[in-house]
Amino acid sequence: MRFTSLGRRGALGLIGGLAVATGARAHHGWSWAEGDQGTLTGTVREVYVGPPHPSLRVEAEGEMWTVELGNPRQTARAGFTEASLRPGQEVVALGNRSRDSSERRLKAVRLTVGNRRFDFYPERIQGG
Amino acid sequence: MLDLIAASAPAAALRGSVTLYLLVNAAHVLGIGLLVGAIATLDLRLLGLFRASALGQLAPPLVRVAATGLGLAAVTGLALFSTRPGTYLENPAFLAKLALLVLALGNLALLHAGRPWREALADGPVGARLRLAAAVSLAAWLGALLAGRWIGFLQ
Repeated sequence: MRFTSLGRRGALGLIGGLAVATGARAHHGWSWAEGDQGTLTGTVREVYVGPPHPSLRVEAEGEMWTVELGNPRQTARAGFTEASLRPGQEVVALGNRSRDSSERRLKAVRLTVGNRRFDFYPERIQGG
Repeated sequence: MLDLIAASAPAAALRGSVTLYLLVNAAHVLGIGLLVGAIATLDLRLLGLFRASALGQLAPPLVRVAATGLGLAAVTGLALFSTRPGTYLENPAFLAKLALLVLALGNLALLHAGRPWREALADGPVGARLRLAAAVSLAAWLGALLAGRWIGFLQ
């Protein structure tokens, strides 16, 4: 697992992970994600831009992660389209990962592709 | 093949329009509603409920409504599938749903092809074979509905 936390995690995340049922709140809100942000660096395997929820699948150290972007409108506002990123490219996703540590899911606030940045939730970027 | 499906005009249109996606999604739910509503009523009749209504009277409109719902759900389901076919085929809930659909449709074909069904429509007796088929039908369609609802939580 290659997910680098920027802040405190540990016990809090563990308790949250036990309290939240796996996958039971896909996509909506932030309550399922940790409060602290971290970065995930990996190779893009799938880019999906469209309803109901734009997302990426990113392979990092042999593990497949789901990286959720903003909703379709927020994703468009960030300037991100299907053409912004191709499978095979490297991407750095900054965001909040699932409190359930067995789940490889990250809600991204920012993507960095080469020297391009896409900010999906500018107001949520920590230390940014 | 999967890339071709994903690149098709309907798939691109659905990915490009939240409104269109919402309408197709709603039509899919409507199709499931018609299908399951009609089939559950018919299955329950075969299992012994609603005996006041003759099966010969009840069955033809229910079968027609269910077939319409099935057609609507199939067409809209294929359209939704086309937006990201590779991802759906890797989704365990989607695969479970497909398996349950195969079971439900196979059961349906067996039921309708047999003589017991024709006899029951002529208001003859409903035998054990028909009641078993009705129970399998209820379980398979409800299972497919549950699996279908779970798809979005795994991707």
